Amino acid sequence: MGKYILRRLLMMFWVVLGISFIIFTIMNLTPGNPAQLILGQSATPEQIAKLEHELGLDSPFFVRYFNFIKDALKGDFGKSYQTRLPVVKEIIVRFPTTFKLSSISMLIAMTIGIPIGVISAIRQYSFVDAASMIAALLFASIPSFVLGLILMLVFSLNLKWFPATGISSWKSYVLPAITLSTFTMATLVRMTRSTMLEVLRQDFIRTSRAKGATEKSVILRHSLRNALLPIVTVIGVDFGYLLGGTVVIESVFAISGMGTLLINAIRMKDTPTVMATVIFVTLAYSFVNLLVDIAYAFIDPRIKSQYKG
Amino acid sequence: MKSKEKSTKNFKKYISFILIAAIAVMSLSGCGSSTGSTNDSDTENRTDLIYGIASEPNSLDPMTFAMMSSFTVTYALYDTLFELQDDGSYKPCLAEGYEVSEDGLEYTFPIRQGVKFHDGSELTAKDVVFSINRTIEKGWAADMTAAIDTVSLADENTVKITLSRPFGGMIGSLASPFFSIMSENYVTTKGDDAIKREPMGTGPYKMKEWIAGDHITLLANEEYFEGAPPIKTITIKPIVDKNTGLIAIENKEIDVYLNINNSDIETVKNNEELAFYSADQAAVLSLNMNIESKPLDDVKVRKAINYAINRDNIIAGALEGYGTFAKSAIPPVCDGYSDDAPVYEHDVEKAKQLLAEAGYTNLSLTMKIKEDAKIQKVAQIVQADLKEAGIYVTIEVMEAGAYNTDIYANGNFQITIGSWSAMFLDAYSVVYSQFHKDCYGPTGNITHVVAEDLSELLDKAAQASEEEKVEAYKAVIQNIYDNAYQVPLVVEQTNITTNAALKGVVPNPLGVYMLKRFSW
Repeated sequence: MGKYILRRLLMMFWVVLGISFIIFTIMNLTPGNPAQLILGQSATPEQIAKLEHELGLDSPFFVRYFNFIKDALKGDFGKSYQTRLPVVKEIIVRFPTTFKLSSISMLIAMTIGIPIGVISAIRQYSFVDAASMIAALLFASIPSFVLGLILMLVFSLNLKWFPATGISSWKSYVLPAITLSTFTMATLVRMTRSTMLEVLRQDFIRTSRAKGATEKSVILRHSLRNALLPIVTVIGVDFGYLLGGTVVIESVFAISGMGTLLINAIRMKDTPTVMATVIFVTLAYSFVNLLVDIAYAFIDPRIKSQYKG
Repeated sequence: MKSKEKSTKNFKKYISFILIAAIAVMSLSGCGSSTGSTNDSDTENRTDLIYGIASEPNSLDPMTFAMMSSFTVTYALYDTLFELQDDGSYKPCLAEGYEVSEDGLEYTFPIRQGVKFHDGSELTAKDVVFSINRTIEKGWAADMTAAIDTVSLADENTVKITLSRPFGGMIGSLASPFFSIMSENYVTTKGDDAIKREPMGTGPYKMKEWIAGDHITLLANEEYFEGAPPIKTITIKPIVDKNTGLIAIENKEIDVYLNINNSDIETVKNNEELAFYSADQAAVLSLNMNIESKPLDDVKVRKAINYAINRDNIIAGALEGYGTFAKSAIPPVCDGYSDDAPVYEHDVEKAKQLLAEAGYTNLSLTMKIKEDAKIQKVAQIVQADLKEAGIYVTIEVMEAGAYNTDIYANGNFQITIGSWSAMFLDAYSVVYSQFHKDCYGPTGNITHVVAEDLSELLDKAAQASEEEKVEAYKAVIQNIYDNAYQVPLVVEQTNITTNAALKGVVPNPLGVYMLKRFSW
């Protein structure tokens, strides 16, 4: 198991390196000159050239990439073109907010999504099943900024239960977390339902019923545990979606997190900030997926045996 | 019934696990301190203000970044020699007045005595000389500093600015944020990068903290030379999404928000708890043509485009009625504007005729525009208007960075729609950069006009005294009209929404506010 984790961590390094190269190349190829963007429309060519030199933009592509990687390995991601502050400092301030928001959303999605999926499966074609499938379809389709604004109108403006903007207390997390969770929740409901249905039709379920196990035990112990594998996979993959999905949510709810940082950085072609932000999110995502893979072992002993060696 | 018991137990286990997990996450998020919003607080006793801005300033060095939203903040931290009043006149601020020589080439300013910087040191005339030189050296306000030859000390308390040519906009320039007065000692010891994040001036407010991406907090300067400002704490909070900004101000989470969408104006006006103010912008939204690109080098084609566009459609279709017909490149709020300007009235037949004279029947043009919902709407309306006259326009929407590179740096475009904002309320600030041959390309003249006669007229207007200014700019506008260098479209409105109890708000054409004038 330890060996497996080590191998995965090593793989993660190559993934991050690959991603860093792709992002660096994209940032380099997209039109727009960071110096021009910082200096504004009315900058003279001399000012632009001077700033390009200050930012090190006048050296060749591979030299810049190599320097970036060299410094990044030492933990120095450079200074933002925009604010001239160390990028890592800006990320450390914001990452907890985004991570908390994503985690809370995932928790909401799981606590609501999985039970509903299970109930829909055991009561297939019932009213509950139909209603939850329609709701799931609706929540999967509604754009998050629309839902965010609706929730704000109802719960902030009319009912005054939660604040609409910023992060000041736990109340501030409620609306954005719910907004962010709906898509994952809908996916989980549908995923749980379909895998549960599949498992419920299998022979061993009939056997366990025949041996006299209670219905609850058949559902929770025998079926759900077997159905959990694909569900956990979805959770891992969707966590990445949540980390990225905060981009829209943060701007709608005026929250200062990784999303707003990334979007501003992309607009201003602030390569150091974009690089560091993407690498941070990649690392967070990879770690969560590693945890998911380790969780497989505990859910399914058959997989645990594969990890050995 | 034992089995049922067991299953409820299992269920309870499940629920308790969820609850524990939830509590764990909540405690991570540091809940408990529920400061919440400022709902229902008694405005009469309030001494704080939450000011919502559309984008976070990326620097608070007023000399190196021309972002309008940051100027409201820098005006609170720094003072200038003169101050623009709400009626459009200029009042001495850090200067005690000024004298100008007969030939208009020498300005002398006695500097106010006993003014202290936030760090306790005293303002001297040397700091003023240093600051103005820094403005010139940074080069951001090149159009305002171009006429300045030298800045020096006339005596211990008096600063002298010598000009190389008369410049009618000198006092107006000195009131702009670019000419904020800094402490020489502070800037030289701290360095340029620190000035961006830790500004220190003589202004009515001091910087308390700047939490990147979240807020900036300003505290009243109790020793301000005009007396401490009435509002003691100001929080500047960026809210990018305009719909969110509207909800936040309706919900009293913020007290001020600028430039809500035109479609929301009615809602705000009907809300008794909010006050709404609007003013004409100090900018003209216009259609700009690159006259170096064929067929726009032909004045007949440019005239045809002028005739083909119906501004009323733009006001009704893209601005929801909140805008006015632009008669010239000069915004009406600017010094030097004249209502008596020649205009190409909408006339499709004339447009077609001019095109035919120029030898075109079906003309295709490409319009590059910035990614912006409003500009996109305007572009589509213009596209439809031009189509009626037989000019077929392809719209290419570009991301801001790429747009600026193409339009300003490389001049690689045919037509575009955009506006040039005044930096201070003088016609000079709008037309000089856009049409003078010295400002070719990146510095503003994207039309690529190199005509000597227009440049001479612009120079003359820049040097004109207050009395001659209107006439001088009339000649400029006539020349632009005759050559159809540009299609002035509309003057948009800028608006500010505040808590109805907030006093001292006068809508500003530049969207820049003096926070010291606000009170509850």
